Amino acid sequence: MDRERGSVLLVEDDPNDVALTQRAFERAGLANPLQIVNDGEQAIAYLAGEGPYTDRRRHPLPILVLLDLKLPRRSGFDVLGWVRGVPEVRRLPVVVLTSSAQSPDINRAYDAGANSYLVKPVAFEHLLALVRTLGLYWITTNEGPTLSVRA
Amino acid sequence: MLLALASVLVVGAAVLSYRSAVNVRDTAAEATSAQRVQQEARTVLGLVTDAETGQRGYLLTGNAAYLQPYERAVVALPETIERVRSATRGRPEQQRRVDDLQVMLGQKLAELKATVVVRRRGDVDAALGIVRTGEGQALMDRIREGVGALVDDASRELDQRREETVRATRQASHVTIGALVLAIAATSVALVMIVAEVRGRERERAARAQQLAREELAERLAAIVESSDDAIVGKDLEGTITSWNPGAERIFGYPAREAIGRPITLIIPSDRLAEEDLVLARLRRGERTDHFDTIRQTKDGRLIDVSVAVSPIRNAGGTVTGASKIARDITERKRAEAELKQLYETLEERVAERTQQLAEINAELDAFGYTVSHDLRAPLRAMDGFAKALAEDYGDTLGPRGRDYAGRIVQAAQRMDLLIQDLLAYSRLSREELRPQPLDLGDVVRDALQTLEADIRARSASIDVVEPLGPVMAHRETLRNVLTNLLSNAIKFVTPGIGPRVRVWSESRDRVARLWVEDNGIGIDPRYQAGIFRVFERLHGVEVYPGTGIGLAIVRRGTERMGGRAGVQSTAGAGARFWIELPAARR
Repeated sequence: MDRERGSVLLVEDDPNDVALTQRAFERAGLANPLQIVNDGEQAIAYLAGEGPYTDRRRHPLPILVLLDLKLPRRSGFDVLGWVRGVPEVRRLPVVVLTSSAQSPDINRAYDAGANSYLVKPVAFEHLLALVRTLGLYWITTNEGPTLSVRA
Repeated sequence: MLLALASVLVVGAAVLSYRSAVNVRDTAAEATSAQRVQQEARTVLGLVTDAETGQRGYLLTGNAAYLQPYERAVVALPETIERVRSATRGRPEQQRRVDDLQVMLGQKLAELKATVVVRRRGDVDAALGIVRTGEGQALMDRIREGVGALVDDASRELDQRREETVRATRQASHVTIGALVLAIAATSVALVMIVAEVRGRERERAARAQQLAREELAERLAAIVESSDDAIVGKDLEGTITSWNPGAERIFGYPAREAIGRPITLIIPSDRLAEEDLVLARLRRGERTDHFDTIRQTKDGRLIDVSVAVSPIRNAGGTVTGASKIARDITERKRAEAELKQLYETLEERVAERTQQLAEINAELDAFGYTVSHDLRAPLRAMDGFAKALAEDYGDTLGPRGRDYAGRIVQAAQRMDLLIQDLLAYSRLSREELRPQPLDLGDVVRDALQTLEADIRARSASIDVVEPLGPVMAHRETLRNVLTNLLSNAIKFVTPGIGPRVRVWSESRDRVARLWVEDNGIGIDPRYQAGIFRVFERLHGVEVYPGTGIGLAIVRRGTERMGGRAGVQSTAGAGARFWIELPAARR
């Protein structure tokens, strides 16, 4: 059900949103560990296994990235661009989870290689429903790619 | 003098006329007396003849009644003879005849008397005998002759007088006409002379006035030339300056005393000297040179833009002797023209610049919308999420009041979220370029109803759509937004407890389709109808009829952005009929 409990990387700068997403994961019964970074730079460092994230046992490559677009330091678009340009992680499923429902953002995200685009709802039960669906689809149902391991 | 002659002639003519008239009158009087002679003479003859006839009657019958004419004649004849005599006064020959006639009449009366006396005595035969002697008859014949002679004389005289009268009259008229002709001629001559005299004086006066006017005009013209802003310069055919007004001093910098007598080339830049030759050549042909723009040089060497016109000056004989040249400083105008040209040339550039600015402003607005949707909603998620978490995880501890408070936080957050969404939608409506395309109105209405499905079911609303609604030109997403707001309003504003009934139909007008949405709701007081289409305009508390107050603003702005209109017909308490109009699409 949880694809060997692969972890999910949540790139989110708003601690409230982090807390609410964690709560939704708990309430949805998703047992996959939720790794959290708070800006674009950290996201890239995590995925590259650099800086504080070199230890892959503590910070394993995720099976899914939940990416906010509006981030400090480097935006979600930058992260997407970086991910799609690095052979080791370029197949990694990235789901954009953001507040903006503006069509230019949506199109730009797909252009940058997003696999899905979800808008954070205000009502918690809607967020819960969204996380349930997300888990069911991206973690349980979806067949993930093989990520090439760094030589 | 001539007038005096004319007067004399007129008086003369009058006198002559008078005299002719008197002459005519006299002649006429004489003619009248001749006629009287004729008349009285005939009376005499009549009296005698009557008397004789009466005498014969008496002699034959003895009846005294026959004697009446005789007796009348005896009485009347002497008076009549006297009248004849007086009528013949002044004509001795005729008076002699009257005398003879009187004698014969005396004899005739005596004869008649004698016979009457004899008859009265009864002796008829004797009386007749006297008659038969023929003496009376002879006497009577002579009397007739005498009367005839008198009458003939008078007739002749009358003819003569008539002729004289005609002659006199003709003469009188000739004299009068001649005199009048003369008088008229003299008067005419006199009048002509008088008119000529008056005219002469007038001419003299006019000439004096003209001279004065000419002098005044010359002064005025001089004043105009003096005060003109333009340079007015006189030159001769060789191009030597002959006059130089203050305007010329101002524009070219040379005082008149320095300019007059010098060649006009003084103010012409060396590269433009050919221009002056051309102008002078035209001048000699008597042609003017209309305003042309050129460049002249001032005393201090500055080159200035001027507009110059040159007109020939002629002497009294019409020969061109020089020219007047009017020059206007158009440096300022040239500068303005150049500026305008420059402006025109940079117009494209400036338009592009403005477009760029507008694009930037638009981008800024986009960024603002992004910020609003992102950053303003993040706290709402926290409010909603944690209030719910609180109620779920610590509901028991909070108690009913605490749970109520948590519920209010959730509600406020959700309401704020709606507001932000509507505001974003509204601002997008104003900014985004809408490309209308042909759409089936019925399609979009069904679309909107689907969006509202849950709401419709919850309120048990009945919606009656009268198809077909027809094709319109619209932007699908905007129209859907507009219709969703309209329909959601229609089922929302009903008296609590009443099932909303909504009717939707359309009518096609001149190239415009109008869609009606009629409800059985609470209606809108006409006072408020203008206001309800404005942003945040709410008529009712959020508690009773929830909403953001943006829905109808979206309806109006949306239809207007698609080239249509929106409005409402309603009275309070009697439902409302909202309408939108859109350009109809061709089928």
